[in-house]
Amino acid sequence: MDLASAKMIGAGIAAIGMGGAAIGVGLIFANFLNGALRNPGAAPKLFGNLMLGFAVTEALGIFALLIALLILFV
Amino acid sequence: MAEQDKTPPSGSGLPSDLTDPALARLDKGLETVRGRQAAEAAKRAPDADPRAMRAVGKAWSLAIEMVAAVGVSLFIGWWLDRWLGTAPWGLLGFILLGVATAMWSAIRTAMIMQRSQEAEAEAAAKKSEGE
Amino acid sequence: MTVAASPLDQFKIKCIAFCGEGGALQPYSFTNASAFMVLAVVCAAILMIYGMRQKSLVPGRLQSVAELTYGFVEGMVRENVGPNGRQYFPFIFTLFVFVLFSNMLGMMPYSFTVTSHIIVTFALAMLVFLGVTLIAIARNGIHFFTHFMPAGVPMWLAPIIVPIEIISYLSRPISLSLRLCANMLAGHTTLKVFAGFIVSMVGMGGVLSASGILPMIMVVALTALEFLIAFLQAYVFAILTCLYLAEAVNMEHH
Repeated sequence: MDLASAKMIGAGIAAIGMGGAAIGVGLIFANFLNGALRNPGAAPKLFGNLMLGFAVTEALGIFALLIALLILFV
Repeated sequence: MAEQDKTPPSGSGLPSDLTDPALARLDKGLETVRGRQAAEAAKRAPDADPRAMRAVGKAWSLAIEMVAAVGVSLFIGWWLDRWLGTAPWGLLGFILLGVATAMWSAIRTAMIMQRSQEAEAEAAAKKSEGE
Repeated sequence: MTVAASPLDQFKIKCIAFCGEGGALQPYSFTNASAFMVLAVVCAAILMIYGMRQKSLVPGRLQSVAELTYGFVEGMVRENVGPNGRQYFPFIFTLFVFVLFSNMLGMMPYSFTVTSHIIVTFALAMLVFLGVTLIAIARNGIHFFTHFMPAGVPMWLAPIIVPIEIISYLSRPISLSLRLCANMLAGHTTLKVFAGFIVSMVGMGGVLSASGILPMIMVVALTALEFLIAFLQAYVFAILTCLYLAEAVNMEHH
């Protein structure tokens, strides 16, 4: 197998990691909605933590994308 | 017309469908102004929740900053490896440092948020005590 | 047409007029990217200069948009940088208006989004980063390096914290440029991909022709989202510049 096709396959496999990030983001928002439905008054205070959790999870997903791009282009 | 302007409002027991031309004109005027206000509010609707917009912007910012920290440390580590010839150790060490930096950014944002929430709670408590 | 247009074709740089060999530099030419940058500057200039020509007390439409933009950026600078940063207001205003107009001009059909190229956003971000660093060193001298050692950190933690702070400081231009470029790139690529779906679905005939309306609805929704993101990214770029400037300019209070 030559290097170019190995790079493509490697990048494809590395991009699967973003699926984990997608699940994580969905979990965070689902739990936020759960909490907001039980206690609507506290929902605005919870919004900041929601954004923080989303940012960290999204960052981990973008790491996977970074690795895929590194494999493909470097 | 002056006597008709002094007619009492419909909330004081009179039937609400008074066919009074002055009241009808007033109603039409109010409808127009309310329509114009609603149109302006709808135009401003994308900015209607600036705090949420700002929070989403900050969240996305934090995510990219974490990735950039790892990226920069990766680059520095790789460049130092090429310069000093310390084959994979520079890269690994700096990646570790970059991951630590990313986590530090996230923790610092969380602490700032925590502190601002505590400050808001204190201010609200002081206000309710003072009243 | 046997070859479908790739969704990445919109980012190709086309040479409009060859300016000539640069001698020591690379040969440079006037490209479509340059044309759209000039267009952004011309639009901004028309808005501000022509809009304020009337100078009436009760503003007309164009004047009120110009005053709104000015007031918005001025409020942002005043809130985030404070009184020390008044002299940097033209810089931040130019930055914000240039990024905003470049993003918005990219939303027109058949146009070219200048800020979707990493080199453009990297140039802007490096400008901000080097400018803020030089301003900080010029104002604070050697005191600038205490920025890397936040207050209240015990000494034994310093060898870990200082490299972390340095790396986080160096990652600022990268994060500034990457954020803007990634948002613009991803948004426009998604738009083109869905638009390609419409064409291919309608071309397939039968039931699929009618269901070509679904990618169309997606494209309309995505375009609305793209307008919001164009404004938001310009705002985030300007606000982060204000914050970095505030750190550099207000350091005497630490």
